Amino acid sequence: MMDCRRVEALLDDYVDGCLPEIQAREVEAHLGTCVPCARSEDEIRSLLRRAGYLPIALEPSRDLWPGIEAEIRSPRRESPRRAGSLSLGWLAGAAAALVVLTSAVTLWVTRYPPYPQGGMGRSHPELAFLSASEPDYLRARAALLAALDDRRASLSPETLRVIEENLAAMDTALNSMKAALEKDPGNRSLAALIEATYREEIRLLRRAASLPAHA
Amino acid sequence: MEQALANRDTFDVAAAKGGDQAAFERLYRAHAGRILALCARLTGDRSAAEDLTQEAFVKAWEGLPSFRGECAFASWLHRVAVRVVLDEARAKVRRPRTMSLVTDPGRGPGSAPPRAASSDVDLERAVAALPEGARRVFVLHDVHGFSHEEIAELAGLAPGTSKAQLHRARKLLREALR
Repeated sequence: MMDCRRVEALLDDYVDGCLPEIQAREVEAHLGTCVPCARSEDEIRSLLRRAGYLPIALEPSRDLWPGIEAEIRSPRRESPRRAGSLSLGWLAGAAAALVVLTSAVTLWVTRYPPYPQGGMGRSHPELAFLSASEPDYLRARAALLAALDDRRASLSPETLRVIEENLAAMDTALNSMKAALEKDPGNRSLAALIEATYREEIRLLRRAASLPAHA
Repeated sequence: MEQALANRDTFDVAAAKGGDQAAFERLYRAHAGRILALCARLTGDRSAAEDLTQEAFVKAWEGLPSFRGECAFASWLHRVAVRVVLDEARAKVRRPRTMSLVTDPGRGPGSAPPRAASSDVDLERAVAALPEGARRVFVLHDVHGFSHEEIAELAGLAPGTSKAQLHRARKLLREALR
């Protein structure tokens, strides 16, 4: 049987649910018979309830943003943007290159399938991965498109035109690859290419969604 | 509510990483109140907490490239703020504590339903009066939900020391609130 000093030392862990089961049962047994220790337990639980009710946010007495903005605009502060500027030209170039690549590889893969038809058995890890990850890509894509849509008013018509044309071209390439995969469901190269194209599309959408206002 | 905030953060974080300061301002507007509350309780000094909140957001801007989304942005930002507070404490002698926090207990989004104001104020005062080490661990563990392992890593303590400080803090608070 534990004594009060031992229970007092273990009481915080007991209340936090961090004690091994055997020790927790011993503490519990002691609390059932010792009024002062049971009162201590009640005080700790009451304290934690009150701590849980404290406001999790406070209103600043002044707007802190101007000071932050001045600091992050300062040349001595490094911008989070990586080397290489984020430009419309970059976006258009990267998207166009992706479209050319995916179209060419689709053509090549569908003309020259790397695996004999039906010769891969029942297990296709790339295909399984694609079907498992495709819903995630589609959700991320939809969310990024919505974010881009929200920013529509802050982007120039030219930027929007380039983004939309390239998204449409990528969708065309994706559709042709998916159609090819339906005809040749064991084609692992196509499945990998579709997955890579989704990844690239998400990357491009993120870039597009982060273009500065009035770009 | 929390999920909606996290979803909105995802886009703003991606944009801010690309250099979009407007997106970073949205992140600031969404999180400033919570970061201020954390800094105010850690320091016990509301005025210093506002400066530290500013510094935390500047550090977050600089550190955004290293944020890989392995945890929620809010968690990452809280850790950045804790580091800023601890670094500041290490760098200079403590400022005198003036707990103006208790005079302005504004409730933020997602906070618990209102209770008797005096209860919150009593507790805030008692927390502010704790010795520094005990106060930090109590605030991080019992108010803001950090684990002992996280506190140990951030504060350069052994997890056992964090537990001992929490034990001390709770004991002192129980005595103060009786």
